[in-house]
Amino acid sequence: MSQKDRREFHKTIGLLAAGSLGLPALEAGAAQSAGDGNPRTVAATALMDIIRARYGKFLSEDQLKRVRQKVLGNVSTAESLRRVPLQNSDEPAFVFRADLP
Amino acid sequence: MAQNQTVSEETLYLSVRELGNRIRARRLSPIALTEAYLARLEKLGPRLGAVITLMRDSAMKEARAADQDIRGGRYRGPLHGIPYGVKDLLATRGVPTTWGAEPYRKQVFDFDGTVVRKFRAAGAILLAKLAMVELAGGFGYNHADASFTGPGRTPWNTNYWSGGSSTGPGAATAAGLVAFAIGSETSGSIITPATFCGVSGLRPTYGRVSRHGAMALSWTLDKLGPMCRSADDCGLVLAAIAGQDPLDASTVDRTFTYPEPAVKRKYRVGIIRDATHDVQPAVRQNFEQSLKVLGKFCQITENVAFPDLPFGPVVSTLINAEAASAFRDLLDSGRASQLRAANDRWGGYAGATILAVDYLQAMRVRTKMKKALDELYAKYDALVAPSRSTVAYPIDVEFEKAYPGKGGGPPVIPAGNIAGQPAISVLNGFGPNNLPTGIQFTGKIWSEARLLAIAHAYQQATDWHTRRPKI
Repeated sequence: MSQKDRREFHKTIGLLAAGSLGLPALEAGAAQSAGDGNPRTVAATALMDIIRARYGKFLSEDQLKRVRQKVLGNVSTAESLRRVPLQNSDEPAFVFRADLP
Repeated sequence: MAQNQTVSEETLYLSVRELGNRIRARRLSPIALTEAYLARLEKLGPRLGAVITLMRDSAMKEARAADQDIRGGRYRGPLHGIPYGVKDLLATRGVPTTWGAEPYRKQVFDFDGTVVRKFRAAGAILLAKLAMVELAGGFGYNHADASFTGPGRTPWNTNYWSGGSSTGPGAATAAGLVAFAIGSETSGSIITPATFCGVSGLRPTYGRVSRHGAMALSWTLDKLGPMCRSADDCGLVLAAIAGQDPLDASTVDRTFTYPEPAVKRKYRVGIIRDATHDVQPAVRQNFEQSLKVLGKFCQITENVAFPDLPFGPVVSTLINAEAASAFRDLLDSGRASQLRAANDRWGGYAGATILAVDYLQAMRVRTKMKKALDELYAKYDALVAPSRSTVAYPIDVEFEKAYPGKGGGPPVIPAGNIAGQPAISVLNGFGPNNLPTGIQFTGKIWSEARLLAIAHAYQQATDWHTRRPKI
């Protein structure tokens, strides 16, 4: 990882930790104005760094390019789902049960 | 009931119900029937890419046991002596369970999945482990050649795909290689091959059938269901496998009665708005003909608006994330490189970086989707749409290049899977290149018996389900 890539990675991890992958437009704009470029691209780059670190030895450069496209797609999908309004009380569609076998 | 009786090809295409009647009346030997299906599987299975493991020895043993029981007056019910096949994602003791994937080609479990155990208790005879798209398609394949057994082929035209991911169950049932088969669906893997092979495929309500022993692709979406040559047969088969199972916490203690008591009114059937948007002309034409038939015994409501919610993004988030977890060992070891389809060798890695909050967001949106669909479906016995927007794809063309611009209307398949709703697809005609088209009946949760009644009534009024491929 180059110095520039590493800086970008750490900035993005900060964004991710703040839960900003699915940011609405206003926050995304703020990220852009901070010089991080398109937040979708930045997020995808950060996630790709994880993939390169964990799985890079198994994947060719061409495959990594394709994975990146899919990661970008996942980031876009997450953004689209983030736009669905939810209340605090809207629970996920599964419930933990203490009496599960 | 001579054990060496000759079993005609016509007999092999009989319904499960009729085969059962003949076996019960001792006019048909389970041994002869099993031998005849095995011979057909050996002859035609490879041509269709439909079979992974033939279970000749154990099948003949089960057939002899069924024969002996029936002769001794110990008849167990409509599946006793009926030969069948299962998609090769269901564990069978001592026999390879490959999940259609090279890295698991030598995988052998020391137990039977619950569905296999239930069929054994019902006296059914397991003939074969049937072909499937590797890992049930969870890594994003885009080509028919996505199993170590090669592409599955529809018997109606073997230059075309049998549909995934239950490729073998669809092709084997359509070609009379088995009396019925078990497929699985996470999002479309029963409905699609049922359509492309022209058989009746039932996706049960999530929690209706135990998945114990089945490969997990997505724990919150996976279902097992019957693929048969008629809706009525789907009802008989579902009745044998439905029910709560302590080995699968998703299953529910809920009675499935087949057939359901007669409904003393016309069925309320809604036509989903824009259901034929961008479908192939033959798909539209056959769907419209089907509606005319349904109009004879159903109260039809046209133009039913489908909720405009991001069903596709939710289902892709859930499958990608859950598959990356389910196959984490495969990803971590690099053995995904052994998969057949080029896309599958890298397609699973992206899912490994879906954030937990994004997965949970999808599951929270899912709750809203389920509520919206529950409210819509409460008004109808069924909503109908073409099962697929096109006929089967050519074997040698990437899916997206097969029929450009033909995308179909509302996302009925992902929506139904997200909400855990049942659906059945039945053959309703043919399109280009002698390839089948289908109509799907979708309903509220636990409404399988009602959907089966409507689909059965449709099949009583038509003869599409009696057509046979020339192979």
